[in-house]
Amino acid sequence: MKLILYPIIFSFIFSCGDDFDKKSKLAGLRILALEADRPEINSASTVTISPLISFVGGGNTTLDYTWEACPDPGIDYGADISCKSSLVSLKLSGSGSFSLASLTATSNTGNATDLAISIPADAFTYLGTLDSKTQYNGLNYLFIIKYSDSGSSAKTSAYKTIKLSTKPSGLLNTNPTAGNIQFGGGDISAYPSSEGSISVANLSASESYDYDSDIGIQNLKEDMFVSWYSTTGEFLYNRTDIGEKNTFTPSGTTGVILIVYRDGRGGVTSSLVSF
Amino acid sequence: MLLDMSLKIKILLFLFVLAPLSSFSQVSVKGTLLEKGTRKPLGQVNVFLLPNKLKAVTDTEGKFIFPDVKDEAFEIIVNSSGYLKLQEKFKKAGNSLELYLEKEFYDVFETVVTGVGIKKDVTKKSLRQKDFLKAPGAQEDPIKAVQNLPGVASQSFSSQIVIQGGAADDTRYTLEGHEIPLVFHFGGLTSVVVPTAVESVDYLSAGYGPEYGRALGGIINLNTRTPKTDRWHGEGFLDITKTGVLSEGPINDNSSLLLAGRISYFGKILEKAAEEMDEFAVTSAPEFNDVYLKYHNNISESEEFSLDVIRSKDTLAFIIKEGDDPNIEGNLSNETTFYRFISSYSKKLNGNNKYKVSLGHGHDNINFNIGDRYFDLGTSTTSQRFEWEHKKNKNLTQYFGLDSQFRKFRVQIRLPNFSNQGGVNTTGGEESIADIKGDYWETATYLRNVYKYSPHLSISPNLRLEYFSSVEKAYIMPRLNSTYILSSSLELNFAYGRYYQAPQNGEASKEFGNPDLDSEKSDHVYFSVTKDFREGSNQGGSLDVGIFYKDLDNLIVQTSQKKSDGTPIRNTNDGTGSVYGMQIQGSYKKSNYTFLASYTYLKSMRKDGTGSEYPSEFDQTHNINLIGVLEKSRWSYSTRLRYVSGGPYTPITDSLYNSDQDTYTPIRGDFFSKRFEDFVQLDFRVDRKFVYKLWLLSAYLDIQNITNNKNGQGISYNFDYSKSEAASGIPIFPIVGLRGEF
Repeated sequence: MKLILYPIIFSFIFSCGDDFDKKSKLAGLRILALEADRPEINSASTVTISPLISFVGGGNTTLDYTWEACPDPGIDYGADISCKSSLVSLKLSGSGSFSLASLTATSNTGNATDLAISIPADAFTYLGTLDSKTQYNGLNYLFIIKYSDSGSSAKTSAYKTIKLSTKPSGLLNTNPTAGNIQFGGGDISAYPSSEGSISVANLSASESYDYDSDIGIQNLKEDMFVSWYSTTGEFLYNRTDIGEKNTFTPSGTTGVILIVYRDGRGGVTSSLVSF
Repeated sequence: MLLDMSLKIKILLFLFVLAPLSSFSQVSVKGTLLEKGTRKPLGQVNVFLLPNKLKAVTDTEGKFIFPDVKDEAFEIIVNSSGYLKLQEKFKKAGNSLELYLEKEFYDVFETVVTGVGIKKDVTKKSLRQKDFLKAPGAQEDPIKAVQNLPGVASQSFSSQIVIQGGAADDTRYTLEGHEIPLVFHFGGLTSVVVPTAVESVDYLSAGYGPEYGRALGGIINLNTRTPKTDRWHGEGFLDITKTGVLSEGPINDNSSLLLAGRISYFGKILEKAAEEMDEFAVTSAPEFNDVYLKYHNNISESEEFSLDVIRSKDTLAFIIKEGDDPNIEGNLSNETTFYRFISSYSKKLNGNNKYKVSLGHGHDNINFNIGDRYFDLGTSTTSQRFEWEHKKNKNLTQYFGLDSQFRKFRVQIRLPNFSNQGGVNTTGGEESIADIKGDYWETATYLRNVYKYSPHLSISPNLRLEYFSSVEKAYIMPRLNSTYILSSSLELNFAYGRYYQAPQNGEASKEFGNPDLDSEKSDHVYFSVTKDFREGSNQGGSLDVGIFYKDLDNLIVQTSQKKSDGTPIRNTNDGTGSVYGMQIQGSYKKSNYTFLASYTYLKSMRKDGTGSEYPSEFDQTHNINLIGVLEKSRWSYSTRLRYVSGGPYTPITDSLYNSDQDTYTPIRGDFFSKRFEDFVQLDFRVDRKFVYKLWLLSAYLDIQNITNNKNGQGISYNFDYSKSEAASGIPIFPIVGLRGEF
């Protein structure tokens, strides 16, 4: 039966290449998360963005970066992810460089230089001109960052949104929290020597929030999930929900294991262990 | 010379006693002649009896009688055209004989031949049951067999038929003239009606008549057949994906009934196999079932009533364990069900007037879930058709018709907004949540005039007027059809038509689309030359060469523009396009061999507003189908070679990581600027018919893609779109099927 069915299943359903690296396997230059200290704001203020990056095999190189920020041009509807068409008064930009030397102990994986983004007052003025639903749910203020390594020509880019809304301060979204990474039921203290269950302690619970939709205000629950990464070894799943178990199969004796915990609406936190 | 008295007495005794006695040894031989396997009575067939050299002719019920036959051994011989010779010896006359005549061929493979003559619609091609049941690569499916016709795009795992470079949503599917929401079960596995219940499939590709509307690209119409009335018949069939039954027969002298149903088990097999495969991240269980019923009543010589009922259900469940897929993760389920009741009544008023009225009603449900997100659409549809045929004089026949449908729907949705420009999906992660109830209707009236200007020339100036409530506009759609017969074997055909198609799938809704949209428009021009080389024979060939042009305007395209209050515009009518091409269809039959060839050349271009022109998604430049069939006794061997130029796709040049959603957003290159590799597929099919007295058994082996070509008509990407490879099409795929019928 298998001889007949397997080729069929292969071709009918599993047309993705087996040769592709898993998303959780860290290699090359990647941005793993952009964490804003405040994912949602209701007045002009400064938001600090902490990029979590990885450049396994990047050595002690220095990365150049450029960033820009502006109201979402309409990514949901096919607009280019850029600030080219944005009004100058609503747009921010900057550039700099970051030496990987500070991350060599963690296989070039960890937080890069924080970036302070001063959201202009004009952005909130602009928010006031938009329809009521957008004002309540929040205008997506887009933050785009690009890293490049002139030495290896490696480059990568990512974006996140900061919500600009009219919600009262007590209802603004905040980042979730996560505890330690655990292996085999306890805090991980050494690089695992054999396959076992891996999880994250004290993940904050999903919060509910109001969303102004076409059928009125809907009370929705955040869609929490953990993204798993490692420089060595392999996870069974790239992503898990709260309470869902994952399995880690080690390879070698050293490596970095990290998680990023998201609430699905801009809130992010992370946890990293290095051996 | 005088006889003595005793001799006289003996002679008298013989004359009055023995002679009558000897006449009692003469008997009658009677019987019934039936077709072997089908038990169809064979009328008007000569039956010979030896050695007496007597002849009888069967009546309409197949009965025959030899009234005066000596009561001795005899032999019956029947030699009828199209049947194997029957020669059977009997020791003596006895009970009524039941003779079975075996056909030379039971299902002769036939090809679509466009004969010369004035037709109602010059662009219509029809596949009859004989055409599609044995078509190689079609697995006995009427709609799959349509893919052998010119102008039909090649697609892998698609539930839609794309015609002459159009869009997938530009084809309408109808059953007995009433629209049905889908024509294929999951992934194009098989069509929604049991094949043996289908009489024919109409395929209309360009310049079709005023009876048809609401479709820019083409029409696929399924015509079901009248249930048999001679006796009750049964049929059972199975292959590796499904099984089903069909039963039909008379209810009384006037009415008959057909009932059929199918269920698939392919998904269960896949599911079971996938359980054993830990290495895979995805399991799938596509399943379907369908039921079809037809009731027919000959109310009187001039009146008929029929009722068609169809119900179809498709379920599909993916369990996507947290895999590498960059966009979709979570549990997916999809269920699509629909049913239709279609009743029709026709009456012949006199030699010049007749009409047919039909009413359809049904409900469609589409349910789609991915994690917490959902899409539930329920639609009730009532449709009505009416056509009056009036023969004004010997040269002019007019058809006046009404064609309306009314829909009431409710859609509940919670899905991420997304864009599909250039065939690449992108989303920023924002959601739409809505619960919308509404209704809309479309009503049309049409007039077709078939005017025979001379024995050689017919002209049909036609008109369709239609109102679409979704855009609150009425449209005038002129159509023209003409045939010029140059000789008994050569004709020229011309067709022109204007078509409008209302916005679909919520494109004009204020919640998900743009309520200011107008309908899409297309003008078709079609010209063809048909040559029938057979000259009345059933051997030989025919050739049909046509050119077509379609101008497309007001096409609905997506836009990322926003209104001043920041709300998205979503769709505009800024799209334009054109399709032109040539199609050739030829057939040739000699002895037991049949050949069919179809070729389409086309160029299909689109333009979104002020952007540059690009090929449409189904701009498949060359499309060739070659079919060969050999029929030998109870065996039939057929093969199909299909070559299609690689279709275009939009390359992904880069991606950006969406930190909020943990997905990568692809960056599109120029729309449809790259092409897949050419599609080449060789199919082979062998059929064997086993003929028993009371029933028939058919077995077939249909091997698709016998050379196991990869035929990648899609691209698989890794999680960040930095690596890609061609996705495989259908591998070598054997299907074994059995069909028993009585």
